[in-house]
Amino acid sequence: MALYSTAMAEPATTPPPDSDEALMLAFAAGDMAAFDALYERHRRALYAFIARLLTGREAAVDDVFQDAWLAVARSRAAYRPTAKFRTWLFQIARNRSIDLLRERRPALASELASREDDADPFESIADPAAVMPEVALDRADKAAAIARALAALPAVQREAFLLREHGDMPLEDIARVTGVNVETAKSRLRYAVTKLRAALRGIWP
Amino acid sequence: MTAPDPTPEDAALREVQEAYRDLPRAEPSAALDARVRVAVAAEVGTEPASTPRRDSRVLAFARWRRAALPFAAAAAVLVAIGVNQLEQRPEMHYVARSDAPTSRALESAPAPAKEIHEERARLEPTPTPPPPPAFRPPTARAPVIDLPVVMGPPPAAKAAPANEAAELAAAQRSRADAMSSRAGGAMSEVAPMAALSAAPTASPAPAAVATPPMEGGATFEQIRRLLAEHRRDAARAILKRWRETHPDAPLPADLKALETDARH
Repeated sequence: MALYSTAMAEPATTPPPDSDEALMLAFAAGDMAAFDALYERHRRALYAFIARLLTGREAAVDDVFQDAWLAVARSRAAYRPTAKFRTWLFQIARNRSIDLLRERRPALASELASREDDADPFESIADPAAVMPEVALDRADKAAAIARALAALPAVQREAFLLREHGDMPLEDIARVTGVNVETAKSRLRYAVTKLRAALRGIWP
Repeated sequence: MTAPDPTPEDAALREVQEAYRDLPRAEPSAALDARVRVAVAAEVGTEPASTPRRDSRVLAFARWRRAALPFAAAAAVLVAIGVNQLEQRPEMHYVARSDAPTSRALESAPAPAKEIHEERARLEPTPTPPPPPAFRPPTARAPVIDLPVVMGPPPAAKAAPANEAAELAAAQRSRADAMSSRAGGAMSEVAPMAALSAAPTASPAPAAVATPPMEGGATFEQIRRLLAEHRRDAARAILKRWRETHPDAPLPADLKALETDARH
């Protein structure tokens, strides 16, 4: 599958056993072991996604993470395997993050919740402290540079990149989670990758 | 079939991803994992599957403990009521006892209490007054018949005349014979002892020793005195009592008529 592939396999009506969807259906029927299996599969990716999405607000990461899983439990009876469980889980976490940001940083929350693409992504860098080094050549320096560049990205671009990276989502799923069309999702992801690559080469910002 | 050549966009994304994956990744702590599992389990209403399952006895105890709470509360209420009643009961008992009629207030007591007191007095053994002094003959002679066989004669007997001492010894011998005849050989050695004990007192009277006294001599004398005092019934009773213990003993001739009279 190409990295920018738009292919998305719709889950079958009867999900294969041991799939996320089958486990979720089992959990909806009261099987706590199925929940544990789901939790073990997705806990690291979801936590890292939330932690990067809420960079600078680490204290809220645990609460959003727990709330996301609680929302899964509360919505278990209404769950239908029409979409991939992972997409559904990350969408829940994103919505929780926006709810949290609405309370603490309304501007950032409205940015994430916006369905309009940025006219000029380079002008919406939120973190002025994210100063990029001019030269970053070795591996450790590259990691540090990309961390700063990621924090400097506009929220919607950072979100698109994190969904692609942690959720392993194609553009269609990113578009579904963020509530935009595929082309908008593709544009956000492209802007994000371009800036991060520029940071790795020491040319941005 | 070969994979399509990566686009410049794909190459750029791959380069960024490689750098990004070198970043340390945050992970949920164990405490957060436990918190999530417990919260989800509480939401679902079951126990977390990953927690060690408690065995059936523990679960049964937990269920019993939940069910026992109402029972414990009810038991506590019952105990409190019981203790309260126990605290009140001694006071009632004390009042009743303090109001009970005493012997001093018995006359003014209501009729039932008086009846109870009289009934108790009738049933309870009252201390018997000391028995009246035994009948003693007007003379200084001791009542030999009532004395124990092994007992020696009272001091007064020492002052008795010799013929009376002889009669006393004869009476004790006759009584010892009667008892030995009833008790068999067991008392065979008692009679000589009685005779020996009486002998010193009789020894100063050689006349009495020469003529052996009739059995029951003292009794006969007593009977004769009663007859002389015209107390024939008393004399007859004594004779009758003597005859019961001496069925084969000869009776003086002057008393045979009294015995014949006593039989009728």
